[in-house]
Amino acid sequence: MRIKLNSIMVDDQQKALDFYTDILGFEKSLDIPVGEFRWLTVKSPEGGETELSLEPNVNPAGKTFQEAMFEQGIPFTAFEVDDVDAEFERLSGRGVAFTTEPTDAGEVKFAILVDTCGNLIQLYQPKAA
Amino acid sequence: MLTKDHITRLCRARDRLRDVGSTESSIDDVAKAAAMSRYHFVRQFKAVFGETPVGFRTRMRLDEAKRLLVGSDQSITQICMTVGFSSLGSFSFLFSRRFGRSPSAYRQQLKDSGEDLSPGCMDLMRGALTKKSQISRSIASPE
Repeated sequence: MRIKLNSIMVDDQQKALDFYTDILGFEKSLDIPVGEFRWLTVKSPEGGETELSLEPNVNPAGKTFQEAMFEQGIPFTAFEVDDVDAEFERLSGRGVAFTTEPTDAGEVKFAILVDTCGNLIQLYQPKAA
Repeated sequence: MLTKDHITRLCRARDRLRDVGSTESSIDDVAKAAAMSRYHFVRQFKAVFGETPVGFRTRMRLDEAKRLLVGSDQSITQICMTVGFSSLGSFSFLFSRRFGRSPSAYRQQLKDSGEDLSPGCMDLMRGALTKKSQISRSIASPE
């Protein structure tokens, strides 16, 4: 058993693809039309097998959950980075909004950004052992 | 840095903008309710939701139109007015641009195919894999 796919709900798949590739820097992997939606995944250019599926949040139950997490300020998804301060500077310079600037939290340093698609995303940098 | 208060006010504004049709508030009113100037409101809304308040409202109108096309017997013109468009031409143009089909073609095709308006993860994956295998088969044995 392996973990090769995870999903995130987005309010608009094209907007999400633009943000996750052009702004964050992931690469598009699969893009297959399914009716009026798409089976759409991105992956990291830095390697690793796991893909992230950008799922349309058209299911009302999913949308309610997503909005509640967002309004409570809770990031449901996290990406690991080598240097959270550098990512904060790079992404702030590209107009990305943050709710938490780089903050030390024991074993990790983290920041929280807004993905423009209804989610808060945590970036975390594990501290060197 | 966005504070929790900013997020809350912007979410309330987004909820108001979702209310399409005859009870719509103007962008100025929504900005005022969020205790921001119009300029600041538009800028912050775009940073958080990735689109302008007007763009968001248009998307909500089109999504509501889509639901009505399938779930009601209203005419296309009635739906156009119900969701807040004043021109059938611009409604049809924007709908076609977003969904790739005219409102009437969308209504007909969805009724014929029984397509799900709210597909889940597995529906999309199954649909994508089916489509992929059909493409592979047609490449392997072209007719």
